[in-house]
Amino acid sequence: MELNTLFTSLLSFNLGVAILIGVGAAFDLWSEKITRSIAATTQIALLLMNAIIFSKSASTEQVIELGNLIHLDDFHFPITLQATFWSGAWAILSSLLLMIIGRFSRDYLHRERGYHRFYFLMLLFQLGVNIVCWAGVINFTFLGWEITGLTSVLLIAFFWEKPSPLWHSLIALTHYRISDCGFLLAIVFLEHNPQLASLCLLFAAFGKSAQVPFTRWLPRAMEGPTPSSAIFYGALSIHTGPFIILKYLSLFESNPVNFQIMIAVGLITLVYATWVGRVQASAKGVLAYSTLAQVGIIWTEIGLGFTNLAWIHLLANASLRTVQFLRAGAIIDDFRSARWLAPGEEFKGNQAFYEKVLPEALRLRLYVAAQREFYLGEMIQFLIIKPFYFVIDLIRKIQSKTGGIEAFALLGLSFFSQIEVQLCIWVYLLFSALAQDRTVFRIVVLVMAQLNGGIILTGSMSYLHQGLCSLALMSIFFLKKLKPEIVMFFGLFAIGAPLYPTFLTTDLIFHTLEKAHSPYLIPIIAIIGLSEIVFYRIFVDEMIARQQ
Amino acid sequence: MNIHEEVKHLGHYLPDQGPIQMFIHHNTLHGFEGKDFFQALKEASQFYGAQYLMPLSFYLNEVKKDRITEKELSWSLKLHGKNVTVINLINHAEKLSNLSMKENSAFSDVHLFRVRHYEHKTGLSFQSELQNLIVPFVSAYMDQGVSHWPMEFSQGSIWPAFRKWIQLQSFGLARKIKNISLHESSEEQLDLLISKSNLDSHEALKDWLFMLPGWAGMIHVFERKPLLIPYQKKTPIVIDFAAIVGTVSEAILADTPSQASRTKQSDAQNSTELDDIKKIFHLAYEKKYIDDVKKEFSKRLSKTTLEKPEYQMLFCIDDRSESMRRHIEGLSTNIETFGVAGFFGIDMCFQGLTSQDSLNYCPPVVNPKGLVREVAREDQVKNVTYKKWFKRVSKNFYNSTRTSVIGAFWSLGLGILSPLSLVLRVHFPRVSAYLSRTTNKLFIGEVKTKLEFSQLLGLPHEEIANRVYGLMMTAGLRTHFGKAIFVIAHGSTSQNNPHISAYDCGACGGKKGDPNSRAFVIATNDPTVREILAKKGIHIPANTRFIPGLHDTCSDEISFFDLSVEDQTLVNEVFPILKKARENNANERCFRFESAPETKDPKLSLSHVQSRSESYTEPRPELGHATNAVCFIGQRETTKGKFFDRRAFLISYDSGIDTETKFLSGLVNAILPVVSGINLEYFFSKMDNEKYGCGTKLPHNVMSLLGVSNGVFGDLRTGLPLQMIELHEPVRLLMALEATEKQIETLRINVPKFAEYIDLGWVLYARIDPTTKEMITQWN
Repeated sequence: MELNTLFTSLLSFNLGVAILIGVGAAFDLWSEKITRSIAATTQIALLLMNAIIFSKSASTEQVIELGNLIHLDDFHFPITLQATFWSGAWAILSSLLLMIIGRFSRDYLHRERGYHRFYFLMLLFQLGVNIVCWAGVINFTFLGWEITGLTSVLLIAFFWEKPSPLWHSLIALTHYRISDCGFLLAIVFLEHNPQLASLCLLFAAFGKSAQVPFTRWLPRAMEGPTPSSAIFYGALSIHTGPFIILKYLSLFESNPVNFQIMIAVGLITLVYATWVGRVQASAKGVLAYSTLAQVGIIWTEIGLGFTNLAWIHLLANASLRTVQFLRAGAIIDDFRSARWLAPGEEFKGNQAFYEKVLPEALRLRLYVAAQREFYLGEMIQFLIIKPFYFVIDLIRKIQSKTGGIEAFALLGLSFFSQIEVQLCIWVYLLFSALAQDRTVFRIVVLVMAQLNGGIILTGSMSYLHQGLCSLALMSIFFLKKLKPEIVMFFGLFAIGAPLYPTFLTTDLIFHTLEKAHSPYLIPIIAIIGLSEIVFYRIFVDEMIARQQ
Repeated sequence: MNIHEEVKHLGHYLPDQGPIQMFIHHNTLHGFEGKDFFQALKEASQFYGAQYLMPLSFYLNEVKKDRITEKELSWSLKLHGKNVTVINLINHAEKLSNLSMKENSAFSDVHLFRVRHYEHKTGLSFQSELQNLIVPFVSAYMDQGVSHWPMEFSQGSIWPAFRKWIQLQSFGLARKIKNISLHESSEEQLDLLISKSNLDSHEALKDWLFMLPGWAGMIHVFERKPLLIPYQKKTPIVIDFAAIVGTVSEAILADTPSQASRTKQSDAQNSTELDDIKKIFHLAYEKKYIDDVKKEFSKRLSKTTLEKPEYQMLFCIDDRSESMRRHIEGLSTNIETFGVAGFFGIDMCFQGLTSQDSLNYCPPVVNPKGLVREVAREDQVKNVTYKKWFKRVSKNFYNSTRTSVIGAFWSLGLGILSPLSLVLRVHFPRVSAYLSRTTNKLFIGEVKTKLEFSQLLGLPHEEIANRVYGLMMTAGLRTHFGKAIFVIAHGSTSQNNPHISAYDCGACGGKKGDPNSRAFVIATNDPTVREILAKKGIHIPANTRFIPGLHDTCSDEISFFDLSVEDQTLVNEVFPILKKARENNANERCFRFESAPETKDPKLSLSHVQSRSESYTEPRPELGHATNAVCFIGQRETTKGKFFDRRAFLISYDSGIDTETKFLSGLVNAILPVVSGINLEYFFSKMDNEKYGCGTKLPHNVMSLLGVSNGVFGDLRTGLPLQMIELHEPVRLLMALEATEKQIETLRINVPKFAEYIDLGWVLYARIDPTTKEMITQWN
């Protein structure tokens, strides 16, 4: 079979099955047995297909054009695939691990309410991983990248009957979105300023692999079911960052600064994760940080130029941590049966810690700082959340006088303004969406904000954007009446819709702006990211309100 | 009341679950005992903000399934003095079940108002902020050996440690806390905080203690029962923890106004009506099962036992032994079975070969005196050093894979192999289990052990003989001894399961019961003991052997210990029957597992339950005590051959020889907390799995080796997981005693707890007449 046929069938098969299970989940069409048989068959087939592709293409490293996803005037969104030895190995390992997780979850999630939803999200995630593995251009990679991020967030929020998984999924989404802005900018700058593009891509990869200062989301992501924690944060998702860099290493080679940054961030994360990990007192907490420390080492290895070592480390660490996460619950039994105690030997815990060489005053401060995650949370609160809510408070004060009329006025004003003013109004509207108390008003304002975003874009793009956003936003009205699985689809759509420009039509945005080097690109991308965060925040608040 | 008394009072309501490796079932609502059952439930639901009984939709669904029929409903209506027809009741209930009721909250209005204000103002979640700060601290303080760098200032109580911890920080919340105040004594700190807040001391302390009830409860357990602390002794006190939570909570909410906003209680009318209707349905629900039990019980069967069976078997009273005994008796008329509490009357501190400390192997109410240790047999000592070496390596491996630098080498070296081990473990659990058994045999070998003690099991011979005598007299095992008496304790084996101890023997303090059965056998095979017994009137023939065994309730394995050559022949004689009984038992159990193969072949069923106990992927290795509902105390004769669907605790008791009700009193005293604890914990965990239970197992994370939490920053979760109670029917335990009315009267005086439970309705009661064998229940 031709390689491009193989590729096409791999991706479309994966997507098709994911959608099939998703539909089953939404309308509760069939039993667990059917879902798990479909998933198991699919995952075995995907493993085989990946293996075939690997065996056919690994030596050639050929690039295969599959055509364009979008073709508009002189702009197009190309789908290109490329197989290299290592990315092929990663593809095989990831489909093997996912197959194992699929089998593990068969019993583990048995009788769980979100059984089908779990498999749906896992297969969607697998699609994302496959795209990331095989994509030949960075634009197409981003599609997979976004899918992995989104499914990861939704699996953290798997138990959305409780507030804390929702909160923590919000934290993960925020970190992802911020780092994703880097990826988008990398795509923008790729042609005109490759050096800047490589830096942006690095930023994105650091966020995805929870390097300092993006680490906070990782321990908070442990709210999902154990197998999803294992596959996302022990294995695949967390290693996607270094994977992307290794895959597009040629982008970085021109600039040695890139490698210095990798070494620096890798080492800082290594030290950070080691210390924070050493004071953790929970099984999964220790594992999360020991995974992270290894990822830090992998970054350092890439920075030092040991690429092959980094590849091996990547594959090996992902596998080992999956095992350890999956059997995290066995720790009680391990200690209870005192498997490691020789008869008569006394259990001492881990008293011989090497920090003892440090002077006591420093040591204790370091200890406490490590427990407080080196005050990263405090800094983020002080630097970002506080100013954010300071502005929101201000808007609340304004609106208590105007009664919210000013939002409409501003939207009207936006039609006749310069792009700078339009951007400011967009931000203002986004903030005032959060300033509202009732979900209905929040959505109305958010719709207005997105309409305003549509004004900035031009032509058919503008209508598409406005239409889809409004439709998706409206969906939240139905949250109360529908069953969770359908709500999930709306939720997905709702989060996905403000995000959809970043999915497929990034190029289109640039196209409509007709200037890829336009100074407004960075703000627009940042605001799109912000609008997604605002949207998810409203979604989370609504889900929590539903519980009470 | 001063703060001390206030905290002490509130402490009664904290969860009383100890460290998870010694899971002992207890009444979740122990703080509300001494009140009428339904009244207690109602008060508890307000106190904890929890559900009262099951939701109406549950009962309506049971009506649809005919689990509740019209007969019971009209009975229940009559009992409540309601003059409504059943149809009307159901219609009304359907209407009510569609209404959404405002949930109770455990917190004061002032606190709720402030939290709302805070969340509105800052966009953060109060509970998350609180847990982000406190949980890393408290989990490290209480840690029993997870962290690689333990807290160095955890020797004293928890408040001084917290002060030090805060003083070592200079940012954010810590600075705010320092601004508020950080008194040297927690009491003064609490005094100050209470005077600042707009609340009286009771309300304030309740808010603070129940913000993280799991940790507060664990500290309360540490304070009162230091013996339960598994590895590293700590001495926290709960008042200190209240001060910590209070301080942090006040610091977070520092900028919020503290006026109370009265929330309207408009739902009150509806909710009392709802509660009444729920109670009507619930009683009908219980009535139906009592009637079913009665019907099964009153079946008359022809006697099948031989006059003088050659073998006896002592089993635990556990509901899971019910089916096993039924199958064994069904297969052979030559075996007589007895149900006695699984510690076999031998309470002891036992130190296993590989454990560092001696643990209590007895029901939680008993305080054992004798110390027994397991040591290697003389000819086995060289294997122990071998084992030592292997253990050290595997321990180092476990820890060092989690470190950074050495961990890098491990992950590089071993990582590539781990998909292989994963595939084996997940896809082929039985092969993997076989391989790990083989390697263990190769590297560790099996060390044969014996029990070591001073005197006899640490006590004088007379005392041990008395216990054996008590057990035998109670159970009615005093004449016609057979060739062999198998003493079979129980335990459960499963993988990857933090709640593993909850499946073990409650009478042995949440552990596998084999040490107790071995100790009992040492006692009964002892010539001096037999001599004393003979003087008291129990003549055990010289050739009667007692043989200790263990029934694994998960894999249905039965193993025997300390076998001499003669013992081995005796075991071989019953082995075919046991094998078949195990298969039949497994087959019966498989009907309850939705994922079990639909087969009538018992061999396949046995292999299925074995794979459950070996599988890493199985959150339901077995179903524990789910569906437990009845407790029979009486002769096996009356229950033999009847099908109680693994729902009955069967306790052997011969009322005929118990003229002074001495044995019955001792028996009920020992088993009542165990059986009612099991029943009530399952009941309440089913009733509100989020508040009284610990929710689904899937996201659980083991913290400090003390309990499970959701995620890394969660509170400890106590009670039973969803996977254990899914199939449970929330009914109160029906205690059916085969005794004369006079004996019951004496029992009520001797065991006041029994009388209290019966009178207040925490346990339901029935009497079986020893002569007519008729069951007389409370509700006739």
